[in-house]
Amino acid sequence: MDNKGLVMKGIGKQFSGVTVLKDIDFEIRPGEIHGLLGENGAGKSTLMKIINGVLSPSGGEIYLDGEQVKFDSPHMAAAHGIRMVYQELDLFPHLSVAENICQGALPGRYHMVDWKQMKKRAEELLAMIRIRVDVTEKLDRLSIAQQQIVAIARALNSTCKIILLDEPTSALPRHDVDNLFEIVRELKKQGISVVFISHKLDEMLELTDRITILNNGRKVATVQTSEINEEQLAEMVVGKTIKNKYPKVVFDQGRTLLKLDHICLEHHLEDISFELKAGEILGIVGLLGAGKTEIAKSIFGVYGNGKELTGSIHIGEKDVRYASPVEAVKAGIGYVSEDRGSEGLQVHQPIGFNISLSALRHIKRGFILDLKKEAQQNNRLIDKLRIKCESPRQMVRNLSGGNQQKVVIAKWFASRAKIVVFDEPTRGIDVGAKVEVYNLMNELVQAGIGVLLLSSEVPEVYGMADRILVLKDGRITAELETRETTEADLQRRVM
Amino acid sequence: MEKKKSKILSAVKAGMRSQGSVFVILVIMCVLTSLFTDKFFTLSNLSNVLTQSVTCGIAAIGMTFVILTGGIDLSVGGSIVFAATIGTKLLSEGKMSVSGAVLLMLGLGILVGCLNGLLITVFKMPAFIATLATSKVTAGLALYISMGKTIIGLPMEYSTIGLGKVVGLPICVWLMILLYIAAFLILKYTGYGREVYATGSNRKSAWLSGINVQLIGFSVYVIQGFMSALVGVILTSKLLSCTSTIGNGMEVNAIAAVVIGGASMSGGEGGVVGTIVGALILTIISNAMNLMSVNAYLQQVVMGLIIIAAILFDMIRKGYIFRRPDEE
Repeated sequence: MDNKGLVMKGIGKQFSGVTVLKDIDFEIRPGEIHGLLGENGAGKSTLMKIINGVLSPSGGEIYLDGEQVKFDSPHMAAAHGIRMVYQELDLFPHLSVAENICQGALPGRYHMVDWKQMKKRAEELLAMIRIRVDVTEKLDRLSIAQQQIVAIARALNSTCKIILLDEPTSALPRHDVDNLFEIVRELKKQGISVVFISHKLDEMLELTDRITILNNGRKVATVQTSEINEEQLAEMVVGKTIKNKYPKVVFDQGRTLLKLDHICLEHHLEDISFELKAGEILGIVGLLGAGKTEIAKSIFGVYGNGKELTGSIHIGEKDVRYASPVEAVKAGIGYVSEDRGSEGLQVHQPIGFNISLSALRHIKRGFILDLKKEAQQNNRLIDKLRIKCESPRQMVRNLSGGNQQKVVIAKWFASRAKIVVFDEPTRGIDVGAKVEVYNLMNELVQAGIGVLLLSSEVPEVYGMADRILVLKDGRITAELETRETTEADLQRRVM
Repeated sequence: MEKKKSKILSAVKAGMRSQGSVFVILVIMCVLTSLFTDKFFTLSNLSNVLTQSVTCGIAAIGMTFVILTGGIDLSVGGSIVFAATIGTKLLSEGKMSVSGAVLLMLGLGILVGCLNGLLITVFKMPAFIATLATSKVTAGLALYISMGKTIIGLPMEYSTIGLGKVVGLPICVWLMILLYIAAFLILKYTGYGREVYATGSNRKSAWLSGINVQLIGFSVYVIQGFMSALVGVILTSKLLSCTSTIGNGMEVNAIAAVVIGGASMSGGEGGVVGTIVGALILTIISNAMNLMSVNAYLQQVVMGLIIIAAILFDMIRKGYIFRRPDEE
């Protein structure tokens, strides 16, 4: 065998004494699409960061085309042709597409930028992956999918042998995913290796040549994609078989908790009406941009009671168009945002701080907070939701995605919400944690709480909801009892 | 050898990263100062240090709240001189009683705070610009009212606040201690305190958690306005006069105290315990330089350099610099 490509031998990594990666052998052959699969905290990102030079390994060796290398910075890795496209795209929203693509290697002389040349270069790179985007457009006017393509094009600007794609599909609707796959295959044709990181097993099977599975910082196996099926793969990821991905339990439904009547939001929603009962999971499924988040935020008072939002919202018998989330939280609504990091959590604060943030009125005696009661409540919820942490004082930013999401849910348990709105609740979290989130939903509805599940993942909504609304371009196009429909039918209606 | 060295280095870094580095600086300052001068550790000088720290200390309480929400208030000096000038002017003309004048001054401070809060939360102006502007307005009004002249002829009883003593310490020192205890309790044990931290730590997520971030943002400027006015009262009462320069540079000292105390300028991190230590450090430096008869102009240079050093030290402690991201 020749020694082309990237070979890593016995890679280990420790963070202040904690072993995150142990003895990993990993190999990327030229022109292959290599999947990297594992739960959150399995060590995928750490391994990627080592390849990319963000982190330096505590042990092991790295060879590139037969020569031993050591990357001290992403810059150095890039000089060797290794580029990474991050999940949180590290682009510049206020600059043009062309500027973004050429960032780091601006064409020109004497520190003067040659704008014409830059435009040309950007267009060439986009043409290379067969995409047409106006390169003078400002980046923040592009969709997430298009931005991702810009990030890939940037990676291609300058020698590029290996591209690392970190969870590139987590925020993309299906047809954009197909598009991205086309681009990845195009890269492969040109001899560029692609490392594809994802939670999604079906995407792994569809796209990759080989898959390396990590579990708990160790390598489970590297397999030929053609020789494996989804079940085997899932088993390797979790380390055990997941019997039921959607642990749906049906409970008795009570009175109507929430009623939306002819809700319209300028440019986003048109004539949205539905009811949510106690003990019910109502699923609203739609593609990205269909208006799911806008529904959640309308209920939660984010748009205030100004002119852009019309129609009425009833909770119980009361007409409640909340002026702000302050009133909504008081009235017992909880909102699990699709954007955990910037909307759901205070990542620079401890776990306990986050859990009790919306429940301060319950742990107050007069003006004074009952810290003992708070600690009891926090410990109880950490146990109940099985949040993996050392103590409630641990910072939220040090938790994995799944555990962070559990902290958000714990917050609404603590606030004693009667209605909880989940917006893409399992985005970016692994298979095991997903099941735990679904179980928590079950627990909520069992307690007579109404759950609104907004998601673009058809299997998830089909698997968990009692009743399903299909949302398309801001309108409800179908209302279905889950029992009376099939997943394929639902999939078709969503597209 | 290499390994041993790095072990020691990492132990030092770990020590620095743990809480309480400001206390260490405070102790080092005290020891150094007492080495260079034999007058430092005398009871009268220590009492002096405390008394001198009062103005910066009280202004820094308000600034702690403001900075915790991620804001900044550059109108401290303006508010001080604005409230003090109007109050003392009326007092010197015999138009008001002492208590009435003090209440009026505090009210004026609150008024300026409300104006700042309004501009920043309702009209969404950047705090930096809004408070810079109000500082101009207030300082200008003060100058217009006093016509730049020193206001004198204040009743003797007015000086009780600044110069009177109770149980061995000046009243204003007790006042500062009380305010610090109150601020500490508010930040730690009330929902309001929690909401101040949340607002500064992540405003959007705080709002979506049901916190009235506008109200919180507004309230901290009101607190700062009150504290500023109080500083104005104490200063003029000590001097039994009011000049147009009494507030000069006070915002810088207050911000320095808060930041030396370990607060993050972006909000959500810090507290009054750090702030009081920060204020004491600043006062001790200036006290030490006085004892060592350092040239008054040079003192400013040293002060600036020490603020830089303290903040640098804190950034190393928190790992913002000199540390690869993977050491976290």
